Amino acid sequence: MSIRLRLIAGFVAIALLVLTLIGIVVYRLVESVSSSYSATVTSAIVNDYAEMLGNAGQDQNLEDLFRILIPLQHNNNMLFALTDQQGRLFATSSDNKVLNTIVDPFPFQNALEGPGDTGSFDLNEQEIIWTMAEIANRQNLLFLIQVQDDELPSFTSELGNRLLVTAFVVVWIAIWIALFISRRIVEKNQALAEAKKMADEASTAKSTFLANMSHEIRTPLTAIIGYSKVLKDNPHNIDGRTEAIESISRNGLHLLDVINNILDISKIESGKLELEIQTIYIGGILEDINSLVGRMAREKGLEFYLENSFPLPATIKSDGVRLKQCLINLCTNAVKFTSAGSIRIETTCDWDARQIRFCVTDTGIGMTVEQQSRVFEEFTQADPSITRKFGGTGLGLPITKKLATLLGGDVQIHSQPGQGSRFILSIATGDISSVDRINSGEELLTVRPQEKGSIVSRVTGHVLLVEDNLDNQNLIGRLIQAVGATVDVAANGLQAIEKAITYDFDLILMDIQMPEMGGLEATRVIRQTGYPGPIVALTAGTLKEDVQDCLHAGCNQFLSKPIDSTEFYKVLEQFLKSDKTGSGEDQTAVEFDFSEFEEQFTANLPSLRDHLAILVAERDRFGLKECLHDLKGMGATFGFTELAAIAGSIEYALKKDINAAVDDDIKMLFSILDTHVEDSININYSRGHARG
Amino acid sequence: MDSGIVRILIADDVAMIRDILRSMVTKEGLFTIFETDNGKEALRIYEANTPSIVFLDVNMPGSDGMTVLEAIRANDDSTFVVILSGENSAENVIAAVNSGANGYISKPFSQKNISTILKKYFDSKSTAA
Repeated sequence: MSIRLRLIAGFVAIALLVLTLIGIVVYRLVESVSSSYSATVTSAIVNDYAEMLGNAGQDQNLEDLFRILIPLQHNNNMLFALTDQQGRLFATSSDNKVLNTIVDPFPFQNALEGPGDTGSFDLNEQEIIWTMAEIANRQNLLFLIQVQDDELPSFTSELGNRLLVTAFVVVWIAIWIALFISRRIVEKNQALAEAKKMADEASTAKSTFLANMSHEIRTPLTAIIGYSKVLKDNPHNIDGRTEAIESISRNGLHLLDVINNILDISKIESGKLELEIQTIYIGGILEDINSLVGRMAREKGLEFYLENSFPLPATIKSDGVRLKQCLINLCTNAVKFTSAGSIRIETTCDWDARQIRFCVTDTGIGMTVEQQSRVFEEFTQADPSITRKFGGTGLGLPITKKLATLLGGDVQIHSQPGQGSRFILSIATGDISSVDRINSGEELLTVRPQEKGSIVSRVTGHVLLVEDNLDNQNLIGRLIQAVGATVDVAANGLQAIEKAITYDFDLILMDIQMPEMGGLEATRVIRQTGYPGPIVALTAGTLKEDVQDCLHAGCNQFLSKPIDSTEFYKVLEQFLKSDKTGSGEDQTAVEFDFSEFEEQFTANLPSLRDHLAILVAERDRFGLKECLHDLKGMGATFGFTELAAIAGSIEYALKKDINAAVDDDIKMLFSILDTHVEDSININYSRGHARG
Repeated sequence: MDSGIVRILIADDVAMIRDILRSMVTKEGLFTIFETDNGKEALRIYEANTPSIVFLDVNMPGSDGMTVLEAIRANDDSTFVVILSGENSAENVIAAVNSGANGYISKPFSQKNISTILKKYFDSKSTAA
């Protein structure tokens, strides 16, 4: 577009120039033809012309003289010229004007010597003037120029020349203006094109960014879907269940983290990312990587090794999510680019430098030095063909590099084409001088955070739980009761208002997304009625605006869903009075255990079994589905993973009308139920421990 | 604007409720208390004595509490109006709040309710000041 315009402008300019030059040449030719005259010049002394005209002002006299002479010239084809005493030359022109011209010496100066000399010349009008002037320089002479041609020369050539020059200049100015304007247009067009290009680039960057995010999400989803498939395909294989469910739960949680982090990715770009530095367990990180990457590697037929150079610190101070993100990026890359051989993660700790290093080594395609220099650039991979061959978007490594830097370390590459790659991720450990040293792999796996039986204080108070989802009502209700508080449930905002106005509550837990009336509106009304106690919002939204909305509506705090029990109990402890009657004056914390619920749940199992039997006998699919849904939720919550899994599997089959395996599964369900019922009679039952 | 003792108007058609409310209010501090058993009289007292706090029963003969609330709110945003009601449907509560009630107390109410609502009044005064 712009190049075309530029060409047109250039062409126009050249055309104008050529036209002007042609014009000048033609004009000159025409002029030389039309203004060439044969003239006879006669000079005469006029000593007393002033006398004959009187003694008024000289100039005026001269003009008067011309006034007499001009009518003569037309009749006689003559021109007159005369010089005054100061040597000024005056001549008449064919358009009857007096010319007052001072001219340069003329080359024919010797042609006419004195008064009465006559010569014949072929002259143009300019030259006639010059000739006369040359002679006139000497004395007071009157020249009579007899032109032989029919017409008098018109003394316009000089004017013509001037016009010509003016026209030329004007044309040139016009050309330059045209060029300037066209240039401006071209510039404008270029600017527009650049803006469009930038917009396109931004759009591409955005798409690339989204695509990359989908990669980040897909990775944990792979584990979730994979393990779910294992569960679905082998519903009777009880051995792998716990592991599968644990992995699903863990990867689900990781996915949740990632989704939260997607919002933060742009912060990395703008340097506004805030790290959550916590105490993290190296063993836990490595085990998670093992379960995720190990599985991917094995599926691809690769060997996967975790090698540790002991001693390693049991814990470090870092951001676990980011560290895992870095490791997963490096490891998934390693798996992606390796078709045969092995993936190896070596963990070493430099105790003096307070750095922990993870070397991820693969036996994959490797990289040239030039490719290595580019992999940390955003949106580029080592080679564009890689995208076609291996997928991915090229954001993983740049993000990893940036995160590693934020975590007080770096990422380095050692690689050769065809020889595999080695990525060395180092991060700062914080103060590890007093941290336990781990000297064996076994120790690494056993030193884990206390996930079960977390320490929570008993509290007292009456809590209104506003929540529309039945499973959440059950789960959160039980979490509340577990630490000693009492709970009342409202299923929507309207019920919440009624209950809040009717009863005294020490705390209101308010779900934000609800039918009928949402939590924000209910909170606003409840606050207006004068409820002075704390209101804590429960919501899946985690944006700053969501938090602001909650606080603005009158909530004191904010818990994001799914509920994390540790966070949840922190909030309960914050807003409810601690129960000093139960555990003594010194606020001794009790070890929170689900056994209470398990017992309660188990106690209900016989009636539940009977109820299920009736539903099965009556072929009440709807009732069965509901009952199984509850069983699934409760089972999963309270650690009855087999029960939850089989109930979920039957519920799913019923929903999807897959009848093939339902009967077997129901038999299986009843046999598991029977085991638990017997156990509950013996009290001494064994539990399926699985809680994420 | 107000100087001295805070004036409170109690409008409820049941004498017993007025007695209970009066005794609860006086436990919370020293107030000048006006009482009436109907809405029309409530408005008259409101206009004559400009109380700072008005307790309005929803169900009263003459003009009910919501009507009185709306009449007060027609050109007065500052008077602290508390609705008393035995019928605590969310609809009623929302209607009262939307009409500009500063508080909504359900019957039967407790000393704690009254204490809370008076605290809210004094808090609003101190933040406004």
